[in-house]
Amino acid sequence: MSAALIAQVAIGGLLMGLVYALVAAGLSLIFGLMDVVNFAHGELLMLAMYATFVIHENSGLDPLLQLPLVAVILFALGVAIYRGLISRALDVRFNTGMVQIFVTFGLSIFLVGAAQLTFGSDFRSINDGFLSNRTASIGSVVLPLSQLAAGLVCLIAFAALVLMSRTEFGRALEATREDRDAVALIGIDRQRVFSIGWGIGAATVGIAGVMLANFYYISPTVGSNFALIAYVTVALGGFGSLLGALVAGLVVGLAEALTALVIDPSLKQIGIFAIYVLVLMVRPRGLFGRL
Amino acid sequence: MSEPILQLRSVSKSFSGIAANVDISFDVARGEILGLIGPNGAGKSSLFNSISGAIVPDRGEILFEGKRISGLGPVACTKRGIGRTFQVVRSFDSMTVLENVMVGAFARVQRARHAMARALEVLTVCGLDRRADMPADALTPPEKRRLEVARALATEPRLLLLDEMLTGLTPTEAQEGVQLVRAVCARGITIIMVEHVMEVLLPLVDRAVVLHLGRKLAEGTPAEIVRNPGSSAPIWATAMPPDGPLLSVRGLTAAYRGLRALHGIDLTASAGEIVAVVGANGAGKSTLLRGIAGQMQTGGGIVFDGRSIARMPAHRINRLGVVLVPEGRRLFGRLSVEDNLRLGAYARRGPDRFRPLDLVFSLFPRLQERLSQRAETLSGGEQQMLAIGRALMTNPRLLMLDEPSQGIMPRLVDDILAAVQRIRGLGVTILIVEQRLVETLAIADRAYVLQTGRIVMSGPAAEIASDAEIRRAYLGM
Amino acid sequence: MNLPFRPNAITRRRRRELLVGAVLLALLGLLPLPIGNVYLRGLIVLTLLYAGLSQGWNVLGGYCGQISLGHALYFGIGAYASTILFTRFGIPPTLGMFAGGVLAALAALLLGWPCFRLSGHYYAIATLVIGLMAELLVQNWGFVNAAMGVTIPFHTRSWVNLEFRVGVLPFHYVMLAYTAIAWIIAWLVEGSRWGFYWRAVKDDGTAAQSLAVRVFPSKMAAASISGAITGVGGALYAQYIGFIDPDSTLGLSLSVLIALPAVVGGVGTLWGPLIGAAVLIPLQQLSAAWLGGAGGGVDLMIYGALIVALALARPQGLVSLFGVRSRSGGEVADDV
Repeated sequence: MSAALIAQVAIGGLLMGLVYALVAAGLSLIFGLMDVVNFAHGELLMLAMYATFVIHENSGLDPLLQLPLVAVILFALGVAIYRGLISRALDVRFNTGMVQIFVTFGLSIFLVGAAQLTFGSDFRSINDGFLSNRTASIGSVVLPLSQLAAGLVCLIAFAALVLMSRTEFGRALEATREDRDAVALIGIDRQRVFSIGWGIGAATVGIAGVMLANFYYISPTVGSNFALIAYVTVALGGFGSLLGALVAGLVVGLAEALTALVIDPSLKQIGIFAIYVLVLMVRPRGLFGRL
Repeated sequence: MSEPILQLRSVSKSFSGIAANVDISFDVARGEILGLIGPNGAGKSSLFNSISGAIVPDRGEILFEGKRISGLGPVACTKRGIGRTFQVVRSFDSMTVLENVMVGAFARVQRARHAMARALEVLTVCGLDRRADMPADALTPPEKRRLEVARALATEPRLLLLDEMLTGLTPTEAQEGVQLVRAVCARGITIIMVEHVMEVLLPLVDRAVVLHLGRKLAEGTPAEIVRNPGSSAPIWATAMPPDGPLLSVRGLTAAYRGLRALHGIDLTASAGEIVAVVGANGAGKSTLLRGIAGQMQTGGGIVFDGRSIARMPAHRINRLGVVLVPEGRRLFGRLSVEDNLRLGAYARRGPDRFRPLDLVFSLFPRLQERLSQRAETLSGGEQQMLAIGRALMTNPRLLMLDEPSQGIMPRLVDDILAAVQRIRGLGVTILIVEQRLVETLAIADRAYVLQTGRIVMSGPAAEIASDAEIRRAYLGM
Repeated sequence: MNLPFRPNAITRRRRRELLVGAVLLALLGLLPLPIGNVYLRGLIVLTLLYAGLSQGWNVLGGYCGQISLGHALYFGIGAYASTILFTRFGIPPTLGMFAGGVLAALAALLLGWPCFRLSGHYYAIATLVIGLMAELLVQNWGFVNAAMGVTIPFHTRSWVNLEFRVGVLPFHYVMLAYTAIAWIIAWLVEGSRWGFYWRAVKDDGTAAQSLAVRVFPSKMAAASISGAITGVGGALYAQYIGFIDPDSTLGLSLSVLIALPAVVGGVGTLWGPLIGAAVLIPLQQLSAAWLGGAGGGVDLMIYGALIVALALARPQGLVSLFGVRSRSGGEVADDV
């Protein structure tokens, strides 16, 4: 096991980690805003990947160029989900917490079924995009260009999220998160903030999905895998913390890659879970979480 | 004479810079009824919370039956024999009356049968045995108070803390409450009561402790406590010709946590006026302001500048220019002073949305010195200034202030009230709700007196200020 | 205390529940006799199994308020423990199922210790992750035949081994007994000190504390009871089907299916899991058979849409249609 191999695997892991971080950031944003865990988050990713595939098949538009388009589509979807389902779930008078969990759960099952119906269960992939089948080398480390690009784009998207948190709207988000009842005192429409929050959360996942579509297989159940990693990442980093999502994403990506190398590829998730359990015991609210 | 059941030694507690209790020391004798008196913000609730274990004092000691209890936590304190009720009734609404009391009884027994028997016995003492099977949220307000007492009694306390048990009751209900307290005392239980209704409290207690701005002001028998209020503040009122009411409230009703809080309020405020609403705690003042601001459901009519706002969502009412600075201020603590102020202008559009900043800084220069500080680290008075400043950033036409002087040093209170007058001078209508009679009436044009959800008196502020009648009803002396 | 005991709404309700339960038990005992169709009989057996499993989940999730999305773990422990003890060590399942129950209870205690510190959502996610971890581990564990599963040989035809000559009918009564016991346990818990304490904490944690309510010990107890019931159910399942593998005894979809009848029927009620199972399990089985299979998807869409619709339309559960008020108090439990 050479140093070069380890470096290659590690960098690959970190790049995937950036993708995980972005997916986790969307989840964390929604949770931090209104205490709702979106159990359909993985399915939003899956839909973004399918959207990329379909648009590519039908119009030849390269996935890279689709980024703004799919982001907008997912944003709209996020807003629609909030207004159509989540706001109703939040209004419920009994067992609100449980209703939220099962509404997003039911939605995820529904979306998987819908994807299965529309596209069948076969694996799809995009093999003729700009990024496909190319590699880049940094020293003795060779990486697929698509993975490198995915990492970079996700990092940029993450930076955009951080920038947004510094704008007026970002402050309004922060204020709503801190005291959702008091924001009416300054004329902020809470429902609108929540809708946009969902939109942004979905859009971030959309961006990750577009980049993943370049090199990852696409199937109705692909979302559940990523969702699981997203939950672990958010729990590890701390719900509601962007920095936590980034750090945790990198840790998770690295752990997964190294576990696959050192132990067994089919057990690569064990490494992640083990870290999660450890953090659970020692620091339940995660690395940067505020409970 | 036996050892005192409770001893407080220099108990002090602060919350983010606000001193709630400063160096409080007194003893409570076994079997007595002790009254704890003082206006809102005097530190009574913090003291209760310290004794019952809900909070830990920063300094000082609390000894119960000779043993240290400060820092033990509420569960341990209850197990040792300290029971309490809460200022705002906290009943278990999904359970019946009997079940509520059984939860308390389970503190001493394991089996449901035994808990049931004890609970029934306690309910009989408290006069609620006929209501045993009713859901707790279906009780009337005085019955709910009794339920809280019954529930605490079921834990077999030797010391019982009653938090404003008689507040907001009619005279008849208050008398029944007094009888209950006497019945509890007859079982050998020591009682500490926090109250505002002095008229009812002073004849009931053996001794009283008076708190003011966190410190113990006086201690002794009721006769020793009663003193001449005497007001030295000049009373003047600026008469402004009313321009047609900007705000008109008709027959406003509201309920809070199942209790009827407002019973048909009529109130007006004309442009440029300062209107004060005064009344004891629990009279419904906060509910009134929150109802106008759209933060709770109301019945009746509210018209602002010709538009009905009674059913509008809160943020839209805010954008019309009706701005509330709530009790407790509700600042965004983790954001900076500057962020809080700028957020105030969030809903405005246009290039000069941040212009009110200059006004805010000229009114409250301290804020300018602390721009990048996190709001939660400011002192109480500064937080109040920030809250008013934030409200000013929304460019209000009607500014509603809910107890702005609560828990703030007198010197700063003067500053704040002076600022309020300057704000009115700029054409903003002010609706201010307060417990501090004298200072508030001094700056107001007109005033309403609120008692248990009804307006009992209204008129020019100067008249109300000099009326001995309300002073008696209000302060009990 | 020797006070005269006064009957009141609580005691009347409790007696009524026992009466209804007894009648229901008798009816269910007679149910399969006129039905000759083996498939239908099997459907009823499965429904009863899930009713019992969900009732077990309900003790922790409905009454105590800790929503677990990983209960399949206990099911799997019960199934595998009983099966391994039988196939490798010859211990009959009638004993093995208790071993499974005990092991599951221990696992629940072990997990409860750190997890109960977590508030509602965090707890749900933790159980989810742990459940999936267990599935992954078993899929790769040679001792239990990894993903290929274990077949239970059927050769003794002895009731001690829970192997019956006559087919499905005996299992109906086995599962009925299982569900009845689970129901009784729930009934006992509901009227106990724990039941009161959990509801108090959910309604108003501060007031509860002032009444010396401490819930951590009772949460641990609830977790172990819940785990044990689920584990025993797993062992019974193994003997009924005769084959176990990670796919059928572990995993998220099973965890959800265990929780769902209680959620749909009404969490924190005695009848919720029963009604929920009676509605959901036949629906799920039939739609999977007709509409499911390879490349389907419609069954999932119906399943998912149903969950969403029921959660939104009837958050108190289907029992509210019968006027039953939930005894589970307010919110999902947050504090310890």
